[in-house]
Amino acid sequence: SSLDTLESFLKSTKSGRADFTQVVTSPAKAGQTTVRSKTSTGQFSFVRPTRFRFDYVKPFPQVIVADGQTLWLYDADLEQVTARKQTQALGSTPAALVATAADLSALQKEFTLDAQPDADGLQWVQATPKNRESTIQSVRMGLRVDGVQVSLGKLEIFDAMGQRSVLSFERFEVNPANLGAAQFNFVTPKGVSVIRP
Amino acid sequence: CTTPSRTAKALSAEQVSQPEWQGRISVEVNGEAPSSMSASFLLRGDAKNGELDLYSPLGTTLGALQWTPQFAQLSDGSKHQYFSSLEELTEKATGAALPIDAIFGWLQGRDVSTTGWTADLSAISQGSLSARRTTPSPEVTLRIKLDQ
Repeated sequence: SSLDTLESFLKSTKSGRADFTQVVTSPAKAGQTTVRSKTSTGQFSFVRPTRFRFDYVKPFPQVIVADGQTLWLYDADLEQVTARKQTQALGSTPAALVATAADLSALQKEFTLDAQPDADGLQWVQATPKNRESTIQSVRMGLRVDGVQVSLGKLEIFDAMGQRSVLSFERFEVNPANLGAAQFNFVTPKGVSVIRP
Repeated sequence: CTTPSRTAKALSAEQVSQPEWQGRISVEVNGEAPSSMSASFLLRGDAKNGELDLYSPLGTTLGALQWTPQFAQLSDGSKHQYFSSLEELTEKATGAALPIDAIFGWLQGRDVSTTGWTADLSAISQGSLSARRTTPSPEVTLRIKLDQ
């Protein structure tokens, strides 16, 4: 089932890199009919078990890097870096799902996992956070199977306020040779203030 | 303040077609217990009746602030918290009490003065504004970049 596919993705894909397109759709506000959506693009990479990064390119540069201890968020326009302890920030965020869980049981500590029917040529698993306080309602992972290799095709995040974020991945490189811990060291740009709560 | 009888979602007519701004906001508090937050946002309405939604880069909601003359509310989907003032509400959500009335003016390019804060609107035509609170301490730096 898709749970077995997810298990093999977690086990065999030690690291990965892909281009992504993210479309965030917000429910229409009271009295408005138009649903709002924002599209952004960039590159996603990860090395299990504790490192990942989202490098947003369009419509503006923004970087999220988890280096194993700290989760860094750098916004070039705001000239600011926000740093959080990774353990506090990860918990039940979708990125933790994809990039850091070592196997299914590690994932099942944080999420209830349910197999779902295949769609869009992908095998789907739904993950619901066990932490009721989480603002994330559920996450759906669409896994792509190419022969032996399993990669991630789509990640859909639904939050409790009706926000829906869909990340579609392209050109997914599984276990690329030149991807290691060094690519996840965040260096604070000159002249930018950093506050580490 | 008392929990309102009517639900928070029943907005009056004039709140429906209102000015709105989208972009990114960062709030930095210096001093002994420094803190910093940054988020994407959607701001609607005015200082009397309005909404401020804060989102993470991945698109999930960090918090939804809503205020009317009767109440000031922060919700994040699982729980709603009520506050007696807009200052208290914004302090809970961003780490510092924000001068919402002045911010609405600054976003429209008007150099509204508000005690303790000085604003730099020199780049507002490119959608950038920053403001610094010098009193009361600790010092706070607010930055906003509007989506172009």
